[in-house]
Amino acid sequence: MARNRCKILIIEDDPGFRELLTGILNQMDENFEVRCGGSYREAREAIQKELPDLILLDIYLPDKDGFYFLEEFRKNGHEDIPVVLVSASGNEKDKLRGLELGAMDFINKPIAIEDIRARVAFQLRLKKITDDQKWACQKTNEGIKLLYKELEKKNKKLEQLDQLKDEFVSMVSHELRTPLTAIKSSLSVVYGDTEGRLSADQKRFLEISRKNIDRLARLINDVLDYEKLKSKPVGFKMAENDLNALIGETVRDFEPIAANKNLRLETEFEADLPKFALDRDKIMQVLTNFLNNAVKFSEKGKIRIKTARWDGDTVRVSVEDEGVGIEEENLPKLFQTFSQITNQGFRKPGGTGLGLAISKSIVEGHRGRIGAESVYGKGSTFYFILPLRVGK
Amino acid sequence: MRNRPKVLIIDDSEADRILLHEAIKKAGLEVEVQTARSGEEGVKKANELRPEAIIVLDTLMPGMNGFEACKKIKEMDQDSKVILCTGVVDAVDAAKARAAGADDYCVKTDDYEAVVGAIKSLITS
Repeated sequence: MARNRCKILIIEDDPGFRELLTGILNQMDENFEVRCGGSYREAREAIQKELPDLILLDIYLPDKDGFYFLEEFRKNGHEDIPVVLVSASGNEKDKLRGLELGAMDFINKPIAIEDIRARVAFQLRLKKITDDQKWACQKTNEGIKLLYKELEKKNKKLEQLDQLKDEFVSMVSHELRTPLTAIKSSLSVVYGDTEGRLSADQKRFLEISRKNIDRLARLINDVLDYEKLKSKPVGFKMAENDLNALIGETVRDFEPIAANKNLRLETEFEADLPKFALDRDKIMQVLTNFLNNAVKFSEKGKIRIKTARWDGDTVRVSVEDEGVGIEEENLPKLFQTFSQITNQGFRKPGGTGLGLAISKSIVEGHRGRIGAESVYGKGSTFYFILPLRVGK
Repeated sequence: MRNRPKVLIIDDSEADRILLHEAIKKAGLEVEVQTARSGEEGVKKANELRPEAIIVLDTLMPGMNGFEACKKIKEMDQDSKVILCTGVVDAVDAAKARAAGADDYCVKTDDYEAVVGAIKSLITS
């Protein structure tokens, strides 16, 4: 079967010369499919029938000249088919005009057989390289388009799944809260009514129940908070606040908890800090989360809470502990949803794994940013930076 | 009656072999499908199936990869029809496929749409 045969078109009005050229080409490669035409009209007919891989074109034709054909051929969009002009004139002007119109090369009559062979071979090689590149480019584009389509499909599916998950989590959390409230209030009725009549053991067990119900309620609130923040990023109650005072208050609440573990709390406040707009409850929530983590993961030493001016119009709030620290590879995971890092040798502290993700949403809702630094075994620093939007 | 055209799937991934076979059936192509799990096995089978098989070749395989296998198959028989397919499109790979003599180069997506399309157009050509 003849596949990939090279098609060459000769446009030449001299029958003897046509035959000579055909002979040279056929001798060069028996796979060449050589066709001929003797005039502009025949040339047009030939290319309408089938486009060749190479055209050898005589300048002087009986009806219209080779330049006319060449100009029209290029104008019709056949940019990638090489045309080699064949002429007896050897005229420099003709050569220049031919090149301007898009000829790839020139062959002068009388012809040298070796010269023709080399030039034809060169043009065909060039054509093949161009064709190959065009093919590869086209195939790549097709592939990219398909992959893109597939990616879009997958993305849409993921979005749907994510939404389903959100709805599910939200529904479950709400459903859990209702019975929990019932248990909690019933328990406090028992606890309150029968204070004097309870034995020490009973009291202890009731206390354990109460603590764990509180914990469960906190976890469920975390989940709900996160879902809320995700679905409604706005909705902050912004008001001017004294950040240092707010931090001082939060830290005081933590003192008994820290003292229980023999941890010292130290504060260092930026003296010159203006009041600025923030959501008091939300920022307290972030701070509580930081402090909770610091206490949870520290066995000794102190926890330093610091505010400092940062990059001009921002303030940086940091909580620095001397606890177990976080391995470097785990740092990027910290603020992701449901991520909890377990430290070897320490029990896995309970939590939803949502605390830091919620904190991140809150800080970003204030147009701030959140981060952590840590040296494993030496301690961690969690910080957030807020813009001081004074007067707004 | 004319014999059904043969399609030879050469892919080291069993999942791809099965799923592509299914996609061909689903598309309603009246072909006889055979498979090979490596470039080496594929070249041997391609030789046995000569001359009418359409060969679908995965580019990335341990041992003899798709480009090498394509070259070998084309050396045995210039007229064999080879489709090289890939999981990731890459202009360099496309150029390599062309240089290896592939008749088509396409991407394997979940539904194998492009591969099945390429087989179809080679059958009708």
